Amino acid sequence: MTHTMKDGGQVLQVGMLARVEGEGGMHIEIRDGVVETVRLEIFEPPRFYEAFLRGRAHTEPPDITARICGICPVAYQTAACWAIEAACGVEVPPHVLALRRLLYCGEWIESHALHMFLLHAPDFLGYDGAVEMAADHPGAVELGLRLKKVGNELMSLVGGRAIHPVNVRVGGFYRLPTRSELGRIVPDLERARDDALAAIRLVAEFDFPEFTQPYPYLALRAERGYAIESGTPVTTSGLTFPVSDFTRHITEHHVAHSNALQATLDGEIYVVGPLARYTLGFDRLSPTCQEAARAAGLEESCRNPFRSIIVRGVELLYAVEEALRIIDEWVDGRVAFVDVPPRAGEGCGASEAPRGTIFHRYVLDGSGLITDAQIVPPTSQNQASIEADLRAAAQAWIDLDDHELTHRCEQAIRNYDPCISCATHFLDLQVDRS
Amino acid sequence: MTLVIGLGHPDRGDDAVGPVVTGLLTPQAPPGVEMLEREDPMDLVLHWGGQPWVVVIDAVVSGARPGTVTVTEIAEDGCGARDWSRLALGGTHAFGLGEAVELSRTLGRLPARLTLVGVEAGDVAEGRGLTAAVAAAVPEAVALVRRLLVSDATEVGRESRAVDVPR
Repeated sequence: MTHTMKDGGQVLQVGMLARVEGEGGMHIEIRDGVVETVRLEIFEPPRFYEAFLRGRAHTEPPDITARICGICPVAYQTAACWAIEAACGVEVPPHVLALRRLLYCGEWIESHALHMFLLHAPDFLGYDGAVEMAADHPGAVELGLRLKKVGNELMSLVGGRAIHPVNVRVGGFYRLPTRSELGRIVPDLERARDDALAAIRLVAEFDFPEFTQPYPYLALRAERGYAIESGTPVTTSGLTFPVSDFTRHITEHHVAHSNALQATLDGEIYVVGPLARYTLGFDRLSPTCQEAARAAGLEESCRNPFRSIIVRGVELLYAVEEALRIIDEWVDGRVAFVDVPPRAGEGCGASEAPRGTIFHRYVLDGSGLITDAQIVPPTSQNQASIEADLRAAAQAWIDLDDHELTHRCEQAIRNYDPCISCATHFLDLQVDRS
Repeated sequence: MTLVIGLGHPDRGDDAVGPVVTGLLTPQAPPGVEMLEREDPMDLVLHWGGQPWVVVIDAVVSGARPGTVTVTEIAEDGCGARDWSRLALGGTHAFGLGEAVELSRTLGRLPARLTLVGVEAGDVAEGRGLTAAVAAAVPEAVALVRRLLVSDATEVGRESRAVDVPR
């Protein structure tokens, strides 16, 4: 919706953003050719997860926090497990770590395929949504559906459910899949590897507006491989700090127009997500992924959020390769979990959700009851950079007509694949021209 | 091959009714009938493409009394997207059964015949367990699907009333 204000200003407003998870909007005010006000308005009600985790047992966060999001439950479960295990001083064996990574690969495949082909690609190809796009580009939609289905199947196989897995517990898993069970998905994953390469080639042909993000990037960096299920926070501004120091650098604060907390890195706007992971971890990608990225026109660093759709394709390929590797190395006959006896203390955990770094912190009493909980999801961390991108995008393309400008601004938001449900644990667009 | 799909999340109140019904039907599935349980409606597009007949059991919200069991035949050009979105529950990014049907129609992936057995939901809040009204309707839904599968479907179809879609 666009309207003119009494003082001659103009408002571009999208009441309810489409193709994002959850409920939010956008409001932009323009006066005398200058973008004055930009708000990412998150009106999905707050859900108070952190409050109702207090008083629950230390074994419960993986199941409770998974329900925050239907797209990235594994991110919550994994970060929760790391945090509780850290609080209790328990380390899990390498095969549990490998299975967490395998389950997480399912989530990355599922989430990236959904966003690339059903939510983001219609922006580049000029359609309102996937159903409309499917009439002219059936192959692209079917490619996305096939990839998403493999992700769902991997989640079901390892996690017991395609949505909200139930097999994850503090200390490991309730049951380990057998090598024979895992082997059944290999042919589908092998086809997904070809599909992922085709997906990268396809999205590389889209037209991308020139746009450069100046903000620092933050992502985890793992001891081996590209960070997915764990790692140490690093930034493009040169910081490296342990997960336990996350809240010393990341500060959450409330803004009046949003039900989600915003966050800053040492007082500055920053970005988490695929571009941050890629820019900070290109050297950790497989040779096949690096080659596919270069062939798609990417350099070792990517600061154009409109190109995030290519980066998601590269990450999707990596997740498929990793899933195949982990399954190939899987050995039967090991313990499904280690005991995590409670003790009083504080623990922090982080993992790389499809949308970026997610952080959990829990304080336990001696009996294992949670006395304090903190969850910092990626979309909260990216809210300020989304607003900064919107301001820059609206100013750069201010000569476009309102319809085109509104569309470009919505696209700037969808570049982040924002998950409002996560952030309210948290979209609607309004542009105001004067 | 006839495909019967119980659609819904097992841990989301009455949304579980689809998998509950297929779970009861599976031990006595007639020959030539395959049973599936799925949580994500998007998966259906690839599962049901090219099938001669697919029966989907799903929780619906049409404004009827909770536990009401209905049968809707989705013809090639039957329910519109708007009607579907008012009927079907579940799915992320607002992608429900209706979107799966419309996307399939666009892609030419609709089964030759698609039957929706809907059970009116009372509560789809997170947590395990059907509401009393929906739990009481499960035997009726199981019996109805069984009759659909073993008898002349046209006859069963005549006995069932179409879903009254509120506008």
